[in-house]
Amino acid sequence: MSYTVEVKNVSKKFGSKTVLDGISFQIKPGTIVGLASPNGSGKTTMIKLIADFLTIDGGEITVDGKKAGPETKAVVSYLPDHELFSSDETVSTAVKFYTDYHKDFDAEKCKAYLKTFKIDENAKIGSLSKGTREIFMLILTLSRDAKLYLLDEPLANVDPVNREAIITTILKEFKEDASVIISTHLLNDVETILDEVIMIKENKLFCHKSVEEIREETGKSLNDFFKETFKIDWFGGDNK
Amino acid sequence: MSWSFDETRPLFQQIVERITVDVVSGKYKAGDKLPSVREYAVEAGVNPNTMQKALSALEESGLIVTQRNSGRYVTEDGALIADYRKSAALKAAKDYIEFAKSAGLTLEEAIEVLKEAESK
Repeated sequence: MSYTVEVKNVSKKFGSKTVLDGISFQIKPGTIVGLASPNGSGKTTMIKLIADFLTIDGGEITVDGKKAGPETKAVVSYLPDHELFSSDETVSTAVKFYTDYHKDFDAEKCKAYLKTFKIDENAKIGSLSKGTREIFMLILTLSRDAKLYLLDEPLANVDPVNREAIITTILKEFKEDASVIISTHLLNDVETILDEVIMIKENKLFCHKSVEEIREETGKSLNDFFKETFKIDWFGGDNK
Repeated sequence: MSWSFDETRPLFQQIVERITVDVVSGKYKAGDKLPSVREYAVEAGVNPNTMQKALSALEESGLIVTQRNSGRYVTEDGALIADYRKSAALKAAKDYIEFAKSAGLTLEEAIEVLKEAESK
């Protein structure tokens, strides 16, 4: 069995602050996995480590059987949680950048999706709304033929209608030999398309489970299970 | 629009229930070709692996048959579809009877209510 992603005992610190502590998990090909934790608990760091945009302090990460590094970047399509293009650039320059930079980029597919989502190729990035910029970046990311798609908070500013369209797009582009990791705290939007969920709690792996199993075993939706796991303890440890 | 689900229950069961209803209600006729796993998953808005699991369960029940290389079809076994239709109706009837009892109706009264509801 070869995994799309293998994370072995990975740790990351920023200065003296531990962000991730001894995290291990594996992701099989052909799965859509949610990476869930509250704000500021290491989701983006985890994604960046897998994408090789940050270096690990301890442990090992392999992607498609190879140690995460410049070589694996070619098979990873990464949607960061921050802007990649300046607001002066146009949609078509950004598309051209992706075409030149990524060998696996399908420009025709990208253009078709731009049409579907009514994004004007001549528009300046800065003239698009925040939600439309997110949709545009997601289209660029999904138009690559990669082994691993890393989507960091892809839906944060997108309205419900376009959110459903994006979910449809992710499902349409799903390939059996590739995997998708979606980091989000908006679980109710994505829970029907996830195979598995990975939750990080207090810098450590809290669980890595099949979402259908969570429903079966707890009688709860993933969203409720998540909220229960991370609920704020208003009264301290003893007063439950 | 994707299908609506009760997210507190496994989705694959709900997909099985929904497609069973689509077959027994005649929305799909005996021998009709069904969408592919991918098409169905996109339509329903669910993970393709979940859809695959549901379709496999429907194959096991016999309501769906797979023909090599050409896809999945609704069974042509009319008696089997009739069986499933009856057991679906029976399940709904049991739920109703249970409700009627808890509301204090006798069986006869419950049946009267059924007839009344049908005529309205």
